[in-house]
Amino acid sequence: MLASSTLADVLFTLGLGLLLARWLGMYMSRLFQGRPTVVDPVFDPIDRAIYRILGVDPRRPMGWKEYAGCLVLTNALALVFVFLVLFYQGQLPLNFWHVPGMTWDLAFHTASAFTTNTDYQHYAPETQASLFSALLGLQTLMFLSAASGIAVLVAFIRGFVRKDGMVGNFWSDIVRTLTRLLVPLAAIGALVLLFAGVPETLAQSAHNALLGGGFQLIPTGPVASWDSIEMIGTNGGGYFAANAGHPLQNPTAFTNMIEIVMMMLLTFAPPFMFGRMVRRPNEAYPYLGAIIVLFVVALLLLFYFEASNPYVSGLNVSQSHGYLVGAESRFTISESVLFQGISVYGNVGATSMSLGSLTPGAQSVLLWGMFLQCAPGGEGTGFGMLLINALLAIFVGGLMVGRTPEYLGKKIGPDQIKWAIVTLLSHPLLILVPLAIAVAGGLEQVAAGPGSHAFTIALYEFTSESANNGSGMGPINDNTQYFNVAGGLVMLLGRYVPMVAMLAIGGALARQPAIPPSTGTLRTSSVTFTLFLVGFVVIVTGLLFFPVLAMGPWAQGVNWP
Amino acid sequence: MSGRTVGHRRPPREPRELSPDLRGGVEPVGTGLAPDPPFRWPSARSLVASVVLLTLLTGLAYPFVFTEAAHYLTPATASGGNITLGQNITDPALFWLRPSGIDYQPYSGNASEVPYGPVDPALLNETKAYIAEYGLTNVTVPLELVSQSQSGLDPDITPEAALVQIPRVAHFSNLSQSVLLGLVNDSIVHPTGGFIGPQYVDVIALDQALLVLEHRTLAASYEPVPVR
Repeated sequence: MLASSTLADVLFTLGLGLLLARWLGMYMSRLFQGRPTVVDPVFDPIDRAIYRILGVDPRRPMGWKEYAGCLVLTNALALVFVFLVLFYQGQLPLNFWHVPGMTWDLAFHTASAFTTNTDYQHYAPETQASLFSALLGLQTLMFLSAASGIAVLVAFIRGFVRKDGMVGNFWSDIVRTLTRLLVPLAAIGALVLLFAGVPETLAQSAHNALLGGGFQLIPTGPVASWDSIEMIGTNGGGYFAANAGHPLQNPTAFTNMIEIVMMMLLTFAPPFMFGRMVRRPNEAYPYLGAIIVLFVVALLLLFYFEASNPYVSGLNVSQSHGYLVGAESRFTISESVLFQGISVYGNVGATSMSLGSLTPGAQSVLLWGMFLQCAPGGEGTGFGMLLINALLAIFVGGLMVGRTPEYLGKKIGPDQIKWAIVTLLSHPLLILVPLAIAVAGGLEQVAAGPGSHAFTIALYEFTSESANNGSGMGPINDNTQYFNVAGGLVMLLGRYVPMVAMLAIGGALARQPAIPPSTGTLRTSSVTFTLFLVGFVVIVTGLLFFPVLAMGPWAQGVNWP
Repeated sequence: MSGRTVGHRRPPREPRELSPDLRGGVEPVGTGLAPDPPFRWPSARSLVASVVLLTLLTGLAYPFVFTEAAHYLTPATASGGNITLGQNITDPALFWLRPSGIDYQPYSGNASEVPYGPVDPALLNETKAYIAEYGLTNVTVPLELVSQSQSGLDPDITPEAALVQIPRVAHFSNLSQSVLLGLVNDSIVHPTGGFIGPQYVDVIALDQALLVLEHRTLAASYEPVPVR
């Protein structure tokens, strides 16, 4: 029941996002192959100065273990630094409202959340984070975590191309991602948001005249620059507790559209980058096809489920504009849903709707996106997940026809499959174990309402953390020691286990010589392969997660208990 | 000599010397693996310098440059004071907003979460209570008017949600229903470019126009909101 203007709105937004993502993907492939780009004269001297300060040689290639070591250690150091900033923010400058330091467990959870690109917030930014913490702590991590995700994907992809066992230089990848991609993109995004009316000031509050005289004190800050990297870096932590539903962070339907496009940029760029980097541009399309099939089906279901909630049909109310409970009136329901769809499926985690009040169908579609993690998934890691799924699918397909499984001239052997299975199984383990403990401790202490609803909320919490998504379903009583510590650990493991696995697979592939294609080689740039991949991903994810979906959102759907 | 080859698809210098087997494919399966590369720890200096540099560039320079730029580029909107937020309007002679989970307090310290699920008996009870509170028991009510937004600060409602309030506003004010109908119709904001965004009414602007029309000022019942 899509009106034509709605259709134009959705298609225009998605089309613009895809177009820009394609262009970015091609630019990124040049960037990481060290090929010349038009921006070199500007950035070469800057990068050289940075390498000199770091004391590193950006040309020295690294094996996967060294690459992983650099990645984990820089991330760990940044985590410790931000933990200290949050813990001691009461004594630090730029603290206009005299916000006290966070408790150790909340500081651990928050620092882990922003280091892992999750940005799950167990605190209200307006009243529990100082400007110092927001900028020098959290915003810094938003850049680092986004760059780390891209660097890992690039190293993984190099495994398909190189034959010397090397996956690239960590410092070169991370510096180039930051200076030539993230900072310029964030700056352009911030400018656009600025002109679209998003505030940007160092003042931490403003006075807004009230209708009857007097003033309303409103929280402000450098919102446009934060918003920009929040969306482009697939971080998703809000400058305000209400995140992208807050009128100061997302004032109009136009800014909503811009933010959707921003979220699409680096989540949809990797397939194009991949095709160029493995020197078979057509390899981009089976993956893009798979992502689009999974994502568009999800979107259509979301539109359908949010059109109305039959549960309230006994009341004399009309839902002609959709089920707007927990949604903002300055966006159409399809705009809110499109934002929420890309935000969750792209593992951004920004929210423009109250997720706890979505219909059960919509809640399960969002959970499904985080179970998949790859349609399109978070920056870098999302496409890495899709590649891991593809390797498994090719392995299974190869065994079915009795051929040695290979992809792009590289054999897929026990080494790769071991790491792929570890990645695949870590996700349900990281969700279900802490969930079981929380449920055993009493669901009524976690969330109010019917049991299936409270279960859905707790399930969403750990799913969002393990997928490094960061959107939250509420209201949930999650600023507790258990949820902070368990959640922090889930985010760290949910981030670094797949990352190390991707690097290990890339490293193992990179040591292999290339086998020339033969008649037995699976033709991967084909519609058949796309359908095979989609089927594989859906069946595996379904087998892993249908039971919890049945206990949570589906049980709500049949109104139990 | 001919300069850069933009758009050329072949990479300039793949280290071919490292892959002698690339073309012939003569290596039998299972051999020809490159040696396991050596492992080196990154130096403490690189690690510390990278975090310090990152903090200075993205945590300090990036936002500070932008706040300064905004000061010159968009002085009117940079402070955020031009964006209307919801506020608590209880005067029956004015149009009302959607209910707020945080009582329209931007500094409530809480996220405004809708406190009930989609099939929760509380959803029905709360909605019924809101319908009674808004005095709309005898008409079909647009659901959004009697339910919370996500932010709890949304100043906007759908045109239908404004129209359904006209009888009450007319009853308590000196204005006729037809005048109010005209007022509501004039205050409808239309989609940007014809397709971005819904039709909606900014209640604060609508009430402002209504007060002007009545030559009335509201009793200053609103105190500056205390923080914490």
